[in-house]
Amino acid sequence: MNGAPDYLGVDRYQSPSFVAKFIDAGSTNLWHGFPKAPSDVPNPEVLNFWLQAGTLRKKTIKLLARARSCSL
Amino acid sequence: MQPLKLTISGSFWDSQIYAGRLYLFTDTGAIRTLDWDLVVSEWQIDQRLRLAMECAFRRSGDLYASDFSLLLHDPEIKHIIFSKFDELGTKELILDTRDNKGLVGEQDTPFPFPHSDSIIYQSQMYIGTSVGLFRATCDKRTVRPVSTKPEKKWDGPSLNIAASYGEIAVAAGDYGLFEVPVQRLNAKAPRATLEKSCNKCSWNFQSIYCTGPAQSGWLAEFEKIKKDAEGVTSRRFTKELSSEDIFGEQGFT
Repeated sequence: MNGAPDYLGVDRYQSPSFVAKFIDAGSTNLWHGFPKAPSDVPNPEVLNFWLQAGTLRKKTIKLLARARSCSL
Repeated sequence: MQPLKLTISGSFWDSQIYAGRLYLFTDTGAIRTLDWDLVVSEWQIDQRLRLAMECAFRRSGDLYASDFSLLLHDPEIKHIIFSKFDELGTKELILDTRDNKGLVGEQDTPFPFPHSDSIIYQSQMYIGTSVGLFRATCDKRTVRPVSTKPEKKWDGPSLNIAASYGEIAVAAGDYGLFEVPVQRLNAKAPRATLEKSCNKCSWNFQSIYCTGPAQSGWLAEFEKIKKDAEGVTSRRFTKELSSEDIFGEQGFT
């Protein structure tokens, strides 16, 4: 909202999270989202899309890839 | 003493240096491999600074060689060597990769990109990603600097990797700490060392120190077992030690 990421709540380690992870656990195309923890690292294809499109800063993508906490 | 800085033009995701070669992972998913020994040895620099240049960027071990320790600990010689490093530190060292000096080859990375971590161990490049651990040969005998036929060593998330004792320690996030044997013939299956959330791992002699998102660090402590009939030293897990056990209080890792 307003150019700033939305606060989504706390992840399973009780840390504030601004990125959501969506899963289709039953493979029924019913996707369920929850606040992402550092160890929920996006697939390299997604990271590469963000990197090439400039969606996020390279430093941020690097921290996400390495399961480190970061600020958006 | 001032830190020395050598700038390589370009935009890179990661790099590795191994056996005289520098592997640069570009932001566009390519690997540029340079003959680093050649780049440093042919660097245009005043002859007086050649020793500092070589020791700083290629042959740092020479300064620690026991054969020369008597010589290198002499105060006057030490002063001369330090002054060379100080002078080298004032130079602007820039490698322009556009002229392809020392370029061994450029290729698309054979691994998922961008990766989480990379290492080179026993002439094999290992790449950790959220979709698994991959291996490809980089022993200077393949057509491309890094083999274009990678092997997937493990399916689990490999967020941080470290090699020693013939094993790749893998920080596998919520799955815990795993060890993947590098042995390719009669390979043993990867095994979980501790199923405790782990995002970073590093070897500490035969043991592995880990940190996770929820708690401070912990050590998976191993002991060495005597060499077997084939002369291989193996390890046996003994216990888990928390950072509080080691340092006496929280907050160090």
